[in-house]
Amino acid sequence: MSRKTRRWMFHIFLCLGIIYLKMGGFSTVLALGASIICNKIPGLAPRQRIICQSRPDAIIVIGEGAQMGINECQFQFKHGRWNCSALGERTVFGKELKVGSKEAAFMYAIIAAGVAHAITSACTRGNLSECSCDKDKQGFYAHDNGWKWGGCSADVRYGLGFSKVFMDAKEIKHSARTLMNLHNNEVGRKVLERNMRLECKCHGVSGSCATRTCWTTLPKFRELGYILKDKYTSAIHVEPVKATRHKRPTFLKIKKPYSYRKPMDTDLVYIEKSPNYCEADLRSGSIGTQGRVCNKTLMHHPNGCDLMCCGRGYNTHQYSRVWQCNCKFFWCCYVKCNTCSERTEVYTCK
Amino acid sequence: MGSLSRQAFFQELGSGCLLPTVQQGLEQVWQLLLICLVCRLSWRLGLPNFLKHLSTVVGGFYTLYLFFELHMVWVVLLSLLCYLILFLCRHSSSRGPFLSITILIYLLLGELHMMDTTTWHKMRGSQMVVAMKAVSLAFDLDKGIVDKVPSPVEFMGYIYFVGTVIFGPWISFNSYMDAVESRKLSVSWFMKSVISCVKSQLCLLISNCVAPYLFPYFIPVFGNKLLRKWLQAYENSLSFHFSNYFVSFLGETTTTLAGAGFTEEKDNLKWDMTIAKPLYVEFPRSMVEVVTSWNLPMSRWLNTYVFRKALRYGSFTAIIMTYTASALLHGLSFHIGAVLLTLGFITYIEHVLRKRLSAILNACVLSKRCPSDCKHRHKKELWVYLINGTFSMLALLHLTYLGSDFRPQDGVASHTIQKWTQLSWTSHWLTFALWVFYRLIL
Repeated sequence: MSRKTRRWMFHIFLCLGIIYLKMGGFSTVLALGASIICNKIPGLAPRQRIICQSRPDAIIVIGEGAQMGINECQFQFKHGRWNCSALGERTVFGKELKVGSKEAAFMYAIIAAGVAHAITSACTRGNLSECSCDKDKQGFYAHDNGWKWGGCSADVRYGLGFSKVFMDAKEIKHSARTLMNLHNNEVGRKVLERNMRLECKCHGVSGSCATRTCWTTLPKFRELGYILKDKYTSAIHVEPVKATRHKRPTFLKIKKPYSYRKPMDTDLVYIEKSPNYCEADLRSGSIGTQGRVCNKTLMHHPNGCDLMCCGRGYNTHQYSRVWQCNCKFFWCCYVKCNTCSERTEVYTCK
Repeated sequence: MGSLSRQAFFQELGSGCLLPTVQQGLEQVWQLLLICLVCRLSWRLGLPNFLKHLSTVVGGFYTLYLFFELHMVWVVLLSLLCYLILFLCRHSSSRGPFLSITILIYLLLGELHMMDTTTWHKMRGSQMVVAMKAVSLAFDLDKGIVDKVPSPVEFMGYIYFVGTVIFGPWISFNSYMDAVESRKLSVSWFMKSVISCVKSQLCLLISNCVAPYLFPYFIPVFGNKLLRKWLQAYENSLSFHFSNYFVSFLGETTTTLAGAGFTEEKDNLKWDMTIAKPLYVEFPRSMVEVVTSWNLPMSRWLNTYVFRKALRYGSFTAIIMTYTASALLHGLSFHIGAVLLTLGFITYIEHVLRKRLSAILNACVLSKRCPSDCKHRHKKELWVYLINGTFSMLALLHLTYLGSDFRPQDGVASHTIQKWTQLSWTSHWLTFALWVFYRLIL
């Protein structure tokens, strides 16, 4: 074949290839890829894997949300013996904490809130199919003092619903721990829902309020972290109640003699007391405090050496830092500097 | 995770704030604009005058209902009361003062007894415009500028003129009667309406979506704790400013669309209504310039019907009475009253100080820009610019301070005090210092 003919044939095949991809070849490739990816993600429960395959666009957002939750967890507990670190070092859908402790309660709530937050944000940005603006708020009068509502506001209900379907899909056994996880997931989502912020501005002659424009915004995720941390501090100890002949737990009640009160749906709950987190124990998500940096001058503080090191004592490391300082330029033409040094001590638990 | 990255922030801002704001901005006013246009077109049909007045009354009523629903009865009551007083005093020569007192009593009773804060806050603007129209008509009747008490339909047409009933501004009765004669439709009229409408939406966007996030997203200035307080105060202030410009440009739009707001010189018609001058407020020469540029029709009203009449008691008293009248028109809000009173002192002291400096230095450093033929010796020297620049900076600081505590809802007194305490009562102290300086150079 001549050179021109070969180039011509090449162009034809290239165009046909592009047409094929446009028509649907790419969709097939994407679907196949999604299936492979979902099967390779460790830590997904079977039902979650099905959701992953049917909504590949959402799984990335879910991963981001869960990671956001873990990052916030590590921030909130960075000064404690337990600092959420075991979770982040594995996959984002990591292993379950075996001990049903307050820390596990916080972890589940913050991840559920993170997923809901991320899905809602993605909806608002139009990054997810099947959801977009909060359509209930378009062109209607809201109940808020009869103000006319309009525009695109963060559709938190979709995010909450999706988070519930996905996160709760993991809890299929009927056990006290399952009930605890479901409860705490819901707490995380409720905290997000209740902290949606309605921002409004009034407009009228000389600052009066003849007309108003409003929109809702997601709270900063750190605010949710602080709120859940407060709930962690006042978490409720609960125990399961077996209300049927099958001897499987049906609901949780507050662990007090002769009391059948259920926990509030805004309280974090736990079923086991927390370990001391002094030694490494993967069941409780503890990596121990050996080697942790602590602060010698703090007494009775979680970051102080006495508490952080569990009485085992600490090592002192000394470091020296030398740098050039007080540099001056002399005419003409050289620079002369003094040498400064600083000695610092770093304490780590034995 | 402490804050969004700038790119993510702008993405979220676009979909979460810009779009809803534009949508709501248009959604809430398109009917008002449509009614203004219909009114204008119907006036071009050659109807007899009383039908013209009647059509704008109908349009005005519908518009009031659109915005305030059944609470519009308070505006209606006020206008009926005003006409009753005018009619009963038709042979008197003191209709102006008497009507002013009556309106004052009505507004005070209304605010204190008859309705809740939220409702009052919504329609305060409309009440203010109605009150200003009635008072100006009464004083004009006293002076003979308007030769006889208008008929009920004329009066109601003036009060409920659809172009000004919701967002203002105040126009005089004679301007209204000029508008009723109905000038020809023209390209310049249409362009003025469209441009003002676009400007109003632009100001709405800036007020909602740019000003509140100015630092550090739009302008990457972080600052320490003290500076951050002032930066935040400036954001609040700017947001409030542009909310005012939105309303002003919207008022320009509705007024022009309805056929008023023009000037005529020997068959040369100009659609040149101006309510606010944003550039003069955001880059001020002096606080005096700010207060006049904020709302020009209201400045004219206060100057004509309050300041000049109070001048016989002395200029300081006249200024304080002017600001008091302005505060009363705005309703019994401690917050607005406090701001306006502070503003009164600031403008008075700045005015007299600059007047004194101008005399001593023989330079163009007055509160108002000198005309080109003034007799000062020093006009364009560097130190003249420096002095004027310093006063401009002071004005900017005062504006930030005074505007920092405007909120979507009325604040309580403690909120204003708290806000000013946060900013160390800076403007008050500076004003006091300038006053001391002024006394020293007398």
